[in-house]
Amino acid sequence: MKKTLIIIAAMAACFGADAQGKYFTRDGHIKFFSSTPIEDIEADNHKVTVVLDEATGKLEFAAVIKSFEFEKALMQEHFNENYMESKTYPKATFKGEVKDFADQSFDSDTEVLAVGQLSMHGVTNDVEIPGTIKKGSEGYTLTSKFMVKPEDYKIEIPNTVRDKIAKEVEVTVDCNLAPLKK
Amino acid sequence: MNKLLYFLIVPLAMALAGCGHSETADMEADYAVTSEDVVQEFLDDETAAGQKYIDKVIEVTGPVMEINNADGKIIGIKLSTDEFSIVNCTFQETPESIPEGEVTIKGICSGFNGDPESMLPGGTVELNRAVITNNQ
Repeated sequence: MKKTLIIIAAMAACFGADAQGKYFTRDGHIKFFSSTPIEDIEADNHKVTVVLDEATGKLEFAAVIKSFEFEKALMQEHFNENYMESKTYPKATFKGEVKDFADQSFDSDTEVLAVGQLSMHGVTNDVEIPGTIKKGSEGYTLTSKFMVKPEDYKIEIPNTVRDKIAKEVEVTVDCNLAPLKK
Repeated sequence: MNKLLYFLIVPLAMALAGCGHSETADMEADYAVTSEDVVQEFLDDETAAGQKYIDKVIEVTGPVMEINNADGKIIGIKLSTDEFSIVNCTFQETPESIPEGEVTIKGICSGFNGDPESMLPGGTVELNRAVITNNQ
């Protein structure tokens, strides 16, 4: 009986610690920017879900592709229907971990490397994404800027618009994570 | 004749390419739901709910859980009573104010952000280009 109680108490403590150690947001910001001499194209998604497990350094991002908003309606339509095929592939995700997370205090902006798998358009690639993490009184601030090649994710750009879309697209990430209470 | 068509079609195509989005306020809602019900529909069957709602204009009523700001202005709100089942909207234009308590908003459903295998439980129904209607 005593043994059972100890096991239950230990399990409860583990689950409690798990929830306390996680930080999240549902309104992370991802911007992508494509620049060519002919045209600059940018889109913003302010509804990105991000979770960080402080105990392990595990990190997840999930963005609904149709939540990227463009200034021009036709660009948004082409992005979804012709390039990202968002009806078939509705989300982009990153699942991985922050390298050497346990060794850092994050008192100030700390350069880190997120290592894991980036999935979009039905293709998953192993990636290493540089960024910064800072821990404040209300949680973590994460930022990152990196380049993505559409061809690495089998995103085909028709020849007719090839000159308007950059071969590498700049992705900027900016989010504030608050403690997950459950 | 071909030249005439070219001079007509090219400027028209260029004008369309430069067009902004339609005003959500002028669109009729395809569905009117509560925030709780629409999230539950996605949690129960994401594929079926996606076919029903994504790209449709939906009017959602629910309690304001959080106001989202960026660069010093209101860009969106979250409707929910529960931190793990939320309707998350971004506005077409910055509203002057957000009514207190329960609000009704109209927007284009862009999808559902939730994954049973994620570290984050629950999910979010996402609306783009939302406007506050409060049934007016």
